[in-house]
Amino acid sequence: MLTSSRLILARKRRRMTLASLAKMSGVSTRSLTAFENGHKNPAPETIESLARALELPVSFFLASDVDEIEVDAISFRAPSKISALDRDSARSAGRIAVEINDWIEHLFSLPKSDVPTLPHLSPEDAAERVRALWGLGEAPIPNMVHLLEAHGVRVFSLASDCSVVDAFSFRWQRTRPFVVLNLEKSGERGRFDAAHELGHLVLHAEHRIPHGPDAEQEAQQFASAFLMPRSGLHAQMLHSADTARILSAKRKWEVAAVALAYRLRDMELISEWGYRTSVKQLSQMGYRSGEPNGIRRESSQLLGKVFSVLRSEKISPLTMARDLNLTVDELNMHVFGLVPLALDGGSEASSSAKPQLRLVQA
Amino acid sequence: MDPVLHVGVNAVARLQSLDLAPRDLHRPLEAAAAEARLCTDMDSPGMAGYVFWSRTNRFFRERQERHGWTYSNSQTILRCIHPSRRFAITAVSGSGKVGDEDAAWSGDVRSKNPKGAAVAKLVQRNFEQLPLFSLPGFPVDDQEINAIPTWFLLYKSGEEGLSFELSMPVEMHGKYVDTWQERIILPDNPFAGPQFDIKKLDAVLEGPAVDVPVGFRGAI
Repeated sequence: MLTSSRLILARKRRRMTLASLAKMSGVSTRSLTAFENGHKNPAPETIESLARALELPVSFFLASDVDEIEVDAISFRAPSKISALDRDSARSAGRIAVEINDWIEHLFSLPKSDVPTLPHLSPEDAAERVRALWGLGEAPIPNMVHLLEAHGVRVFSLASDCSVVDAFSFRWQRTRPFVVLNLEKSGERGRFDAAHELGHLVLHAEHRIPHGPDAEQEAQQFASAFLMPRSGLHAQMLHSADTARILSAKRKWEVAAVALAYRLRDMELISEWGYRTSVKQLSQMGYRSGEPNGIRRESSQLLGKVFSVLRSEKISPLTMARDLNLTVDELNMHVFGLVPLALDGGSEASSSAKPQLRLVQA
Repeated sequence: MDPVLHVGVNAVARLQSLDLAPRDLHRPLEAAAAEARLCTDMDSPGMAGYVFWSRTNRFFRERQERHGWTYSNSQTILRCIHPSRRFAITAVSGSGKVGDEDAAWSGDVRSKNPKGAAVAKLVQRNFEQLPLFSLPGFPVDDQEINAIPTWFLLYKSGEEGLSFELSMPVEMHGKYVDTWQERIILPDNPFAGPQFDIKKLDAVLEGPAVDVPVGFRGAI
């Protein structure tokens, strides 16, 4: 029997309207509406057609009911540029990440969340407080993803077909924090996105919902202060820094050059004129659209360890995907592409396992 | 006169007697270090040191100008002159145990660069004038800028950070100023530590990696 909430989840995950799914599956819009409303149950062959069109196993549609992530629980940057289909697709991807996490937590003990909620503080103060609570001092953060994971935030990758969305975060069932990151941006921007989402989790909790331009601006300010602490920048003596100095100094904090210039202006270490001049020069050098000679994209330590243990315990990715009612490809999209590519060869270790190669820009 | 060392609250009090607060030394040094850091290998060798020297003097003068201090570049000694015209201060790069209260009065703390006849004369006048300087109402001729006792704001940047002291030089050995009648070493140097070495401000630090503990409970 088809689970209607799963059909809705799968359709949204694939950015499809009822009409487009009808076209892809050959099932009428009217029938699809009835299936999604639970007024009608499709025949097995119809479920197979839907599964093919939505590129998911039939078992996905037969598994138990799933609750959606509430719309209010997520904040999207520049929402006017993101269509409802994109938003729903990302939200559904987040829901699949929750399923994957539940499966992992069943087998593994993972760090408990100690992300404070500080909705009463300014972004700058909240960033300082979190740094203090987590014992980070004024030092650069070596790896934002690992830091979040160590403090109980579950970090997943945003499926590449949702790339219009930068990142998002939510507290599943109001308690368990999740961050979902787009992997297609530079390493520096990925770190900033992770800090931005931490800002939402810290600031926009309890009575405050993570919505609107104010919430976005606050999360940006939090990320800026968290990655580039005030005292640390003062210590670096960036008073009147020019473009060359900004490019030199940003390596220490592993942030985008433009983000550092913005922070220096915000701290009045450079003038408005100096900021505009630097941003113009950085733009001409290609630092607006990307980060030339930037750092590598951060990945998940937690998921890396999980897959390593699973491999040693001979629990294959295929088994995991089957348990989750997903395809291995779909699973891989949510876990930073960390699913081992070794063949499922029973108890014999495969000598032909392909190494994980990554093209790194020189 | 016996040499005098001012440290801790006494240093702050002595500075106050010169109408100065610790931040009057901190701010110019901080801003000058930032400007010196803008120099690159494509500048002339020694440019960073030159900028540091010039800008420390300039920023100190700009800060004090609002309080009635004046200045003189006579004989290329960049002095900032107290409104009473009873003393002046010049920033000079130092070497040796700058900022170290255990340093000996002579030989341990010295000017980094060799000094010429003008500074030699200034130091000699310091030595001669100091007994008079301690008398109230000590007169200063407007034409005799070079006769005013002149303190050295000594600074030194290195792996231990940026150290500094305000000291009264009274003797040279060879071409280096290295003997002091009075040293003011402020407490709580905000520039102490390797992170304040102006050559390494942007160094990428190798911090400890974050470990995410993951424990396997066992197969289902």
